Amino acid sequence: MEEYKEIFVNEAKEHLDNLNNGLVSLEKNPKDSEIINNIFRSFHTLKGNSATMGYEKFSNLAHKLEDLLDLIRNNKLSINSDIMDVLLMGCDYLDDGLSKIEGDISESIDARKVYDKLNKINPEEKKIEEIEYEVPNKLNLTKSEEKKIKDLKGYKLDDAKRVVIEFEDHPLKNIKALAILKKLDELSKIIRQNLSKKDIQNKKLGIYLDMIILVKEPEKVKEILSQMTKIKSHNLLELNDDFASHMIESKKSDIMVQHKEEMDKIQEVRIDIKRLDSLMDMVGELLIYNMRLETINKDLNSKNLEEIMNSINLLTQNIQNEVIEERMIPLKSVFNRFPRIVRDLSKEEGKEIEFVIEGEENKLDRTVIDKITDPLIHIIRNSVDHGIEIPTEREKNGKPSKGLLKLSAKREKNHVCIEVMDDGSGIDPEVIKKKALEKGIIDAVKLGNMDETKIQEMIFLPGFSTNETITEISGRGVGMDVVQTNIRQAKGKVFLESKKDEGTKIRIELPLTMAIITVLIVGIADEKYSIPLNNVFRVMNIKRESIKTIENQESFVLRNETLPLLRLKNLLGLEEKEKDEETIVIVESGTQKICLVVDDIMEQEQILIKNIDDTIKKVKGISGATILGDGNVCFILDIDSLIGE
Amino acid sequence: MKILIADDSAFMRNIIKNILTQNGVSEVIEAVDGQDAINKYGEINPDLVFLDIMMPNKTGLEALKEIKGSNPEAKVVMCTSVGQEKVVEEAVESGAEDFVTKPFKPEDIQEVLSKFQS
Repeated sequence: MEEYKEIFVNEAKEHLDNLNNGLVSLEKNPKDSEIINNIFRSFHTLKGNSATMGYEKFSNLAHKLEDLLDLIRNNKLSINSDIMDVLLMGCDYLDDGLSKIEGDISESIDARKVYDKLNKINPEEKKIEEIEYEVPNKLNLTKSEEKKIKDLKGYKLDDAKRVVIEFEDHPLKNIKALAILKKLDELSKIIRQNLSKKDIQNKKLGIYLDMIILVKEPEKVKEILSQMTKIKSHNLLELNDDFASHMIESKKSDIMVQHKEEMDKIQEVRIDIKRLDSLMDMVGELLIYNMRLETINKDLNSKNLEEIMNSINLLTQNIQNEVIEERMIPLKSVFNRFPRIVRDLSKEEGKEIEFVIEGEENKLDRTVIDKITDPLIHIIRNSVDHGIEIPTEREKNGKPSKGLLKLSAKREKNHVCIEVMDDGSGIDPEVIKKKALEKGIIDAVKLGNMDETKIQEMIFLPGFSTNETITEISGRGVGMDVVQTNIRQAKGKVFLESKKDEGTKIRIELPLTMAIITVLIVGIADEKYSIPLNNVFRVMNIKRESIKTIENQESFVLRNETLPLLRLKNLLGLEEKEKDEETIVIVESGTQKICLVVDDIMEQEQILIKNIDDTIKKVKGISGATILGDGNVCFILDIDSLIGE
Repeated sequence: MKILIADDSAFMRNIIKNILTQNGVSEVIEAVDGQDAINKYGEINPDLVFLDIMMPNKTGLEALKEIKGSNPEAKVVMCTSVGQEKVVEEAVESGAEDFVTKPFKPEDIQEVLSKFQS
């Protein structure tokens, strides 16, 4: 079964997500039968699938929770806070159990707490006593039965046959018995049975069903009986046959064909992200070689070669798109966990929040999704913790008592925008100013030159946290600076928009994939370097006179902002001749900008990032490399670290 | 032999499908919910249907009734688990040939298959 584990785990995760969301909605709409059925189905599937995998404890817990939902579904119980608690708690245990299964840690769910609570809500039913039956060797018709047969039209006494069925000890054997009864009823006339239909319906069947039937075509009965699964043996006897001796001959032994072959080949394959990375690398190389061919063909000018190259190019692009597509997963996988987080947090803090999710179907690269998960959790927790006010305070400020928190995603050209918006208290610039000065993050002079947004954006600086109190969930010692760092690593950007008393909107722009980036290629002393386009703010030519030197640092003033000027040649150890006019690229990282002096602005290109070896990685200011069409290596400038300098 | 598997769990479909193909079933078609099962049954007219009971967009029982309504000769085996006795009972009343109980072993499916292959 091991080969099915991944697909089991993945599907179980989806169901647990579905449960967490479903339960949160159920709490709001306790009578909604569609939600109840949906939750029921998830528990049910989890139970069945885990049992099939052999995870007994997991299955058992899911089963108990399913039973509880079944009672709710059939209006035997109605939702109350005790039931909600036990359901959510049960899900947490299942979640935990699943992580252990996934991590190959022995499946150890100790859910006694849940079971105790479940037992209080729904005491376990007593086991039904089965009716024991000893099979007589012979059955004879009674006088009244003989009379009954004679009175029936179309039957003779010879048509009376005995059917003895031995069942396997199977939880649903009673229903097997009912199924057989139904079929026999269609083919024959049942004269006697050791157990009434009602008893069977009440699950009182032991091992044997022993009957006398009237049948014209006994072969058909045999056929029907031989088609039933999960029965140990079936016997069609003449009334004066001896059951015991008959049994020995007919013991069913030949039907079960043992297939020793291992089940192989699953239809779905999950691919290790590393494999996709290396596939992507190879595709990148293909593209590069093709570009080199193009360069060579500029001299040869062969039509045939050009045609072939076009085809190769197209194919390579297709492969590349496939690989990129393969790496994409919907945002749903992250968004799904938020309703529960928001619900738990708001309950804990006595807040009322309407949580809206939009655009969860948008897809992003797996690595990007991995990078943004923690930041998003942090932002959302912040909104609940520090943004949205408690109902009384909201009412005092003339707001509806229920706060609004909206998480949305939408695709815009080649990136995805994720927005977290709340109508809470917003960020007060005065508080930020005070805090920043206290913590020595900034001096008063600089602060005086900053506008409101700039001040608010200081929450992204390391060591800044506006709230001293630590809540159970959000106070894990990570601040908004971590949010900024992670999103930057995912080649994304964060924007903050906040108005005191009105609310906060945090907008994150993310590239669809991290493997391909758009860069601006610049020339520095005959070498080509590339700058990730998401870092480029502006390109301009400036006059020599407009460069000012303050405290040994060259700088350039753009509107009211003084930006440090960095000569890349100096950085790379090359001679720099001063020119009358300089070409600069203004780059930004987060809220900070600097100017880079370059020789040439060449072109914009989409490049595949090659994994460079560790020796180059240690060079400051370089984050990676790519190979251009002319076959030359082109380094990618690491703007974040350049600005850090 | 053409067999339709209807189950909303891809995990379950995968397992059943593998058991079937390894036992010589040439054509296995999958349906993801009750309505899908009804539609696919009409399209492909399979020799046998494995029908899960708990499915969205029409339950297995509803699907069974519709399938049996359109073709009384349809051969349907219900896939069920403990706790669904009442539904299974109704399914049997409505003409399901047999049922397998989750968790099942490959042999359980093989057994059903061998009965219908002969």
